Amino acid sequence: MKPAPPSPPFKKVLIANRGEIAVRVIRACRELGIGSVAIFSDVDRNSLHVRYADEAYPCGPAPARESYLNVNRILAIARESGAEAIHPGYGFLSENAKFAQRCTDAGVVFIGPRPDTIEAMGDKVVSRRRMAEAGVPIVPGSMEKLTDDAARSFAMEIGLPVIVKASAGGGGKGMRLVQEEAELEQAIKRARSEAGSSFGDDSIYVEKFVEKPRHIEIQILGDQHGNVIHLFERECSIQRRHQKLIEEAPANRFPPALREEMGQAAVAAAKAVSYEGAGTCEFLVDQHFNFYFLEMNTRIQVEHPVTEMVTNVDLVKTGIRIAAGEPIGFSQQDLGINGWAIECRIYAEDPEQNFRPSPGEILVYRPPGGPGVRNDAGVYPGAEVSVYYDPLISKLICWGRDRSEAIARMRRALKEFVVKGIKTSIPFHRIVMENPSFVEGHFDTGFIENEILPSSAGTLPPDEEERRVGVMLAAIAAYKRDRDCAARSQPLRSRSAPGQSWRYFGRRGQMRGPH
Amino acid sequence: MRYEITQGGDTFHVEVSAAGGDAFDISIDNGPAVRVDACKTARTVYSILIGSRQYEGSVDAREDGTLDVHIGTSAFDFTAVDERRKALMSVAIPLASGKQELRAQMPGKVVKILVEVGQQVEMDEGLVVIEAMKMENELRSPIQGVVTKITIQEGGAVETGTLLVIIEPLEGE
Repeated sequence: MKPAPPSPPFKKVLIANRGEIAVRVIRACRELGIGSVAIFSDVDRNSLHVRYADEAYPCGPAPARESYLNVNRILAIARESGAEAIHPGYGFLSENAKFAQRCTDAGVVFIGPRPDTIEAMGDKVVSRRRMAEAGVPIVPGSMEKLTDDAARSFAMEIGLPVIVKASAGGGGKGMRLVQEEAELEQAIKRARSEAGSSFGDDSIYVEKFVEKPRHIEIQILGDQHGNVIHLFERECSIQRRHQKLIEEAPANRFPPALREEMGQAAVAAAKAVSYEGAGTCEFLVDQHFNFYFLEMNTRIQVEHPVTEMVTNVDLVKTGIRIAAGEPIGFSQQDLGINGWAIECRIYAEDPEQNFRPSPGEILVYRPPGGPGVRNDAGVYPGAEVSVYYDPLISKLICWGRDRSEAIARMRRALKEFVVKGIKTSIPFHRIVMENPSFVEGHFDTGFIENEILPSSAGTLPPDEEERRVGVMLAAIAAYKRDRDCAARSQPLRSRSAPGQSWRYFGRRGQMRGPH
Repeated sequence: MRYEITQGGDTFHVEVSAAGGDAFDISIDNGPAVRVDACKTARTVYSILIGSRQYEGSVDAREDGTLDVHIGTSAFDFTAVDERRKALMSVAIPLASGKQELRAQMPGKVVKILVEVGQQVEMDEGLVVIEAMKMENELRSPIQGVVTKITIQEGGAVETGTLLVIIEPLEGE
């Protein structure tokens, strides 16, 4: 006799997202015995998340605002499918307080924090005030939205360098670093106009610039019964233009006392806004281990798997159970850090071409496997990476007993990983995994710009042995090409495609000329 | 086949011959020939065995004809030129000098005559389309010159070796 499984928290959940995170949520639903409802735009009919779901509904044309951001359509699908809850994933509607409220009004559970929590944390100035009141250290700066004049005098009062930031901001938009007084006027003007055009709210404030900071965040879980716990830190300093590329848990060079202190601060922050579900407090940590609250992400994070790998907690499943009213189910004392985990975000981008997006069909896709390797992907061989959405195709996570085993495993996994048809950031990650500063764990948020980008054109220094093998493979390819060409250049051509093979041969012939 | 392979300013002279199956014998810069087994494991992706040493690699032709080659964790852009073709190209015009007689290479039917007597033609310009075995073949001029004779008619049959067109070089060339 099989023991009766625990009753699922919901019968059916709609996943208002796409790509790898939709797949991740669908997997959690399946493990919990919850039916999953996928939504897909016109270009996503054959996406992986659709294939893994129990039900799937079209949600509109390719542009996100007409499909994955189409609140009316998504709520109509929830009604039609009988979904009791909506999981927003990350991005799209995940931090949209109005959407969370619309769900509640429609009688559908929004899997995430309450609308007022999202709203309070979405406005930087409001959240800074709330955090300061809760005793959470914040970056020294203004506690209210400033006029141009007030911003100028405030900046000079706390001393340069400062950052002028959009109150409604995020993702590096509406943010201006000011090193010298002469730049201040322009920076205020530009930050305000960027804020207005990006967020529809041009209010700004001024913060002291923290030099050579590390970006370290604390994962938290809160439930409807007032319990809040933290699941330790993630080190997210490996960024390019405020876009995280590599994350790890735990953080290197991180005193246990600081872990305890920042964990407590994150719990206090979450309690101050009655946080429900999985969330993250982002902090800057300076070279003297002072830490400052940056912002709270009121959703599941892209990099949540590294925390899952070292705590053995399934954050997505726990978040779903919390949304159904269940308690977290374990306490702070139950948690510990087991080993080390590193995540590399694999983007459809060409690192040799300044990370230009590389959409197209994935012709070959061979993800790595074996011990300690987890690959959360949203693609498969033959999948089309479209230009409409985030170019993240997969997250490669490697676990090891310690950091050096995790790095060795990541190198091994990156070597196994083959993607053809599109360019990816895999070669870039290989470079970082070999970088001495990274390996030693000495880096800050300037690592990519200062240490990786200037020293290489996006490739590892070529290995002479591999180059000789490359010459051989090139010769074999040329041999096969010319043999195939010769076959084509038989003095024959198909009647159904007149001229085609000849034109082709002609072009090929020209290409072979010396350049 | 001999190839001149260039990468990053370096040139390699590479002799390749097929050795059955996926195997090739390759000699670089007149060195000893090495048996290379290049087994395709996915589109453009190869497992390469040199002796018992295994490498994973891939090779994709870019639009400009250069080869984008990855071996292990290294990436290279190669240009591979057939040395004989290169030599032929450099002497192509002197070789194909004088009066040129174009003959049919197999029995077939004349589908279309693309030129007229007296017409000036460029090298590689199409002259006649012959159909054989339900396939069409466009025969091109080996030299720049003028059409001096056409011995066939559209719709007519030709045998192997039948004279089709005569091209003569322009005066003074």
